[in-house]
Amino acid sequence: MKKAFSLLLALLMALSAVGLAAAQNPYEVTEPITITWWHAHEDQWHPYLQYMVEKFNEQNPLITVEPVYIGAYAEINTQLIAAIASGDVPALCTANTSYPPSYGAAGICEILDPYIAAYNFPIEDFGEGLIKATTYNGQQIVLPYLISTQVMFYNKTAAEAEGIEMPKTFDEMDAFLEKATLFNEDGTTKRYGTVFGGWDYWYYEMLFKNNGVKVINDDGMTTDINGEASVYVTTKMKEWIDKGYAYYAYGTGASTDMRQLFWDGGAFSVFHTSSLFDLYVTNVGDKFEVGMAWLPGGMDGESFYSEIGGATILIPAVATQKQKNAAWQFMMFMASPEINLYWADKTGYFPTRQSVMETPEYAEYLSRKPEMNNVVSMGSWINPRHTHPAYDTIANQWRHTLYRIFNEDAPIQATLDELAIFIEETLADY
Amino acid sequence: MRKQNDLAKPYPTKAARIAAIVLFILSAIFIAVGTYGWLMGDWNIESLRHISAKVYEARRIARSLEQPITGTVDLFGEGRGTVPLRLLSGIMNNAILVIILGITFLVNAIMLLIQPWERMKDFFCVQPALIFFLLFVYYPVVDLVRISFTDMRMLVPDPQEFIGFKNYEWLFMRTGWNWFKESLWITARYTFWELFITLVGGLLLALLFNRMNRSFSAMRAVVFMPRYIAVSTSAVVFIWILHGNYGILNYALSLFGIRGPKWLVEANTALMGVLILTAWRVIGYAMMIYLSAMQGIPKDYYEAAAIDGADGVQRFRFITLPMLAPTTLFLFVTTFIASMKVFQSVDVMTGGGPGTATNVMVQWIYNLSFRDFRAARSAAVSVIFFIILLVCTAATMRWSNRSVSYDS
Repeated sequence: MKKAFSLLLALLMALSAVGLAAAQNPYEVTEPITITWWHAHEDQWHPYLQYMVEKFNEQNPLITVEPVYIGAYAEINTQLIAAIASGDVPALCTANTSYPPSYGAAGICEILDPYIAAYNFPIEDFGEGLIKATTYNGQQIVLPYLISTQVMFYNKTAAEAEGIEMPKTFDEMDAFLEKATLFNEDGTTKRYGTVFGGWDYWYYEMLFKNNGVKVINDDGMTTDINGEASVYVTTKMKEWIDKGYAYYAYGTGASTDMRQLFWDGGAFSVFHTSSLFDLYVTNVGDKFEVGMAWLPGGMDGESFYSEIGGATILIPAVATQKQKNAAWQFMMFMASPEINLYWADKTGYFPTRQSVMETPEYAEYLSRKPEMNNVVSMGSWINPRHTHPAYDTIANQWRHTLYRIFNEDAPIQATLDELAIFIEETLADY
Repeated sequence: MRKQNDLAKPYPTKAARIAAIVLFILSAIFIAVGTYGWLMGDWNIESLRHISAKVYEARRIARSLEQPITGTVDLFGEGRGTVPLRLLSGIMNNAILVIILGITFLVNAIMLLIQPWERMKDFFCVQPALIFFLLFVYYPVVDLVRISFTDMRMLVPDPQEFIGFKNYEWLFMRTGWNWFKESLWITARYTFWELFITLVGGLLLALLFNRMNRSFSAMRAVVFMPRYIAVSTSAVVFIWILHGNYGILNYALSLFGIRGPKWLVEANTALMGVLILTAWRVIGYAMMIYLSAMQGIPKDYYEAAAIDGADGVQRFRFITLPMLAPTTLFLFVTTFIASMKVFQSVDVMTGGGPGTATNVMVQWIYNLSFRDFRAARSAAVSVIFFIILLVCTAATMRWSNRSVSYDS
């Protein structure tokens, strides 16, 4: 009798412990819910995206995720702002890595720390750099799930045939471009040495930063965008563009034009994102082999930094708690090692979880995509993006300024001085 | 006869007076309560912030838990009575509606006192439309002005601080001025060319198509058709037509040995690129308006002129053109206002670029709000732009009243 009573007591204690644990986790999903995920992933990735969503929905019978393609990152940003103003938000939203600082400053994202704690989510597995890039004031506001960085794609077949070495530093660019550029008999460019992606400052900004240019100085109030180093880099780029070695892809359709030019053999190399590696390989087909090189470092021979690109995923702070709970489950799924590697394999993104990199699957993935080694081996040089909330506004203005210098022959120093006034005035507002 | 008797009755009647008093009381309550909510919400008055903060917090919790707002607040000081936060939140949310209802009661009360019941019936009929206009047309303008004096940013939905004329100072005395001048100049250039295309192109096409047979009728329909296609749809198509390397326009030009520019990528041709789409869209509409006006010109005038020996050019110069003056004015004013506000085609085709080559006013206003998140600055620019449009339109109407004859 005593034994039976003890057993009953133990059972009751165990049950109450389970009940207590459940009560202590307010982030559990307890009833069926359908949540919407706004994303920016284009057509070519929809089959993989659909596969992941279906897999999640299968594994989580209480939750149904409905992915909705909104448009490019800028469009999704616009839509999110409007949704927040109206209070009718999706449970999950994809955001480019440039947005979290502004979102964090505005309190748009749900703080994820309590969820991470409640589920013992191994956030440290992302590594210091990625955590820094996805936190605001020390609080985790988004999770990184697709990470890329700036690279140079190049025509590997031509490089081997013509003995062209990719530039390791900025001062090697002159010799590289001279060799990689081909001209027609009438003096027009037949094959550009390289193309700078000018529709987004992210593609070229490291050429400046690795040479010591600070778009926003450490004091957060001034800039040296019109300083000696910046003028030098700008002058060199202008010189290459004027000589027909390079061009600044800017304006409507610039991204498409640049890709097409490379695929057609009209450009030896392009500055772009590692995430599009598969797209480049697929579209080039049998024409030539695509190489992927790290960006040229600074002239000091010591700075080889790049910055994080790609996508993060966030939960809007104004979503309901039920939406947030379901969204968190999907976030964990998207950032899980298995899905992490799946995404990386199907795209040109690379895994965000360090634990993935020790798996045999990862080794096999690298053996199939040896070019990824060039990026992965430089992983320690990948930095978070600038976290100032005004950076995006400022850097976009910089992009337009460079267009005026490169394409409209605006005087370099005076135009950069004008930009510096704009930047410092903008910074003073924050 | 009965109506005359009603009108002859002395007014206000006793019933009208009682109704007016009730309406006065209601209006006072509604206006006071609405104003209180407005000051607490949109105006974020400092002395009421301790209450509004509680409302915002209660809303946040309620939204998060998907439950109604709960709790109360000591509105008149401790121990003097509490008010449910839900009620306060409702008042804050609907402050403008409450004020407008209060104004409606007030106007009705006054009208009841100064006019007979028969006329009140007419007044009642127009009231829904008036309320609609007040709420959806005039209030947004008023609110725009309010926002222009705040530090509102798109990413921050919470209450804004009032910062006086700082946004206007930025616009007129700091970097905003150069942007403003440039954007206004681009908008003016765009407007000039759209007006030119509409008035001259439309008139020429109307003269060409002013034949009443079946084939011309079909051709008129073809020219008019683009008007029905969504701007954004046609803009996407035109991006490809105008593409520097793969566009059909440059291909056509190459057949004549002309190397076409990269229309939307080069600063000196981007605006022209947008205008090509504009021309395709607007010219048919202008043609139809002119055509219908031409049909209305009495044939006698032409016959009389022909008898007097007037040739075709003279008939056009002295009959057609003057008789079309009201139509031209109509097209001028409507096109002027529409083209000053051009946005969709620019946004889709160039986004205001390259550089700032097509950064028309509305595009700039949009970018300020949705790219730079500076909603208050965007509002300040909008207010000034609104005033410019208002002045230009009023000046045009004033000038036209003196210069355009509506006599046929």
